[in-house]
Amino acid sequence: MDDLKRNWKQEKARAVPNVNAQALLGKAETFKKSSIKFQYGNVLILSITLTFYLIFFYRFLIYGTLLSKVGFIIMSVPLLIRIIAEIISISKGRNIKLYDNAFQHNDQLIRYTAFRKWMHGPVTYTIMALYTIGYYFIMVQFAELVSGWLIVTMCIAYPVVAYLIIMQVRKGIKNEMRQLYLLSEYYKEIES
Amino acid sequence: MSAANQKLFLDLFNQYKGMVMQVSTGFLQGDRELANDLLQEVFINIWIALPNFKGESSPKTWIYRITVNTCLTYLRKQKSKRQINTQALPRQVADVIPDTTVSKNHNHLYHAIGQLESTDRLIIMMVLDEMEYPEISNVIGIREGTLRVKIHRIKQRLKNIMHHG
Repeated sequence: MDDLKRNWKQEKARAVPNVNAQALLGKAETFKKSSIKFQYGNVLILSITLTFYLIFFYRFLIYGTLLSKVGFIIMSVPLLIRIIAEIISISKGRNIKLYDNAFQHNDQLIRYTAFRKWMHGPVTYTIMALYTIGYYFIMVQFAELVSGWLIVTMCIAYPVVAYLIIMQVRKGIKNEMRQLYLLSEYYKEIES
Repeated sequence: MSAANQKLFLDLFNQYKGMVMQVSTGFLQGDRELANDLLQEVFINIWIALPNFKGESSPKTWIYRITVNTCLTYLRKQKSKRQINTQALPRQVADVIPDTTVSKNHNHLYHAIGQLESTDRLIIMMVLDEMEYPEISNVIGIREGTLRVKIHRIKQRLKNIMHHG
């Protein structure tokens, strides 16, 4: 062991990174900003969608049938829940502290990933199911406002889009399950 | 970000870059290019966490914690991306390192460390860095008694690898 320590010490002198400190500082600041933008990007897109719904409601559905109003609520409330869940997720993500010890950090990551998995799994599927019901409820009223071929196109296109979204959601869940597995492996390693 | 934080970051970088580089190199079995990338990730994380540095632990312990967590996250991302087994990447990398870059002894040492499990690699590097057991326990988050047993086992494993590997 003493030999190894000696070797390690000798090697320390050679451990010189090929990095400029000022350039790294700039890179770190850029990364921090883009990370914040990325985190809130999803919330922004969902909020814009919700705003679009509200405009659409006041423009076309406020004097509409009860069915279309119910459809609107069924579509909008889950979207609002999704926005709230996304904000909670960001807050949970920010509470993960890289300067905690490895055991605590791993524990926080497991909780966070489990939350993301729940959000991307059951929550998203429920939202999509409700969204689909709401969509077709609104289509009934919408049929009075636009031409028949457009309604047919929208009704046929919806399942295709929904299928693509479900595939994307499944991919995300699979990735989160893999992350959870790898994190639990670290748990075992640290504890063993 | 304040000028004081920028100064603190640059001071920490100049003081601990060697330590972080060595841990990164050891973790990646001697690949200096990858270690350079990993070092950058560590210091980007240090910059992000810097406003929360209250001086409750020593800067060395604080930086070691960030380094350990970044190393484990880095490996998890690699595994997740390529679905490779734990040692595949470092082994391939070590095979192409010429002896002119890393001396035979050191290459052997890095290679041996690379055979260990990821957390064991980090623990043994802290031992080699002559960190005290309470400090290592503080970085990893396990009791000192458990850590002593663990380190004893890692040393045995490392000895076996160095003799037979």
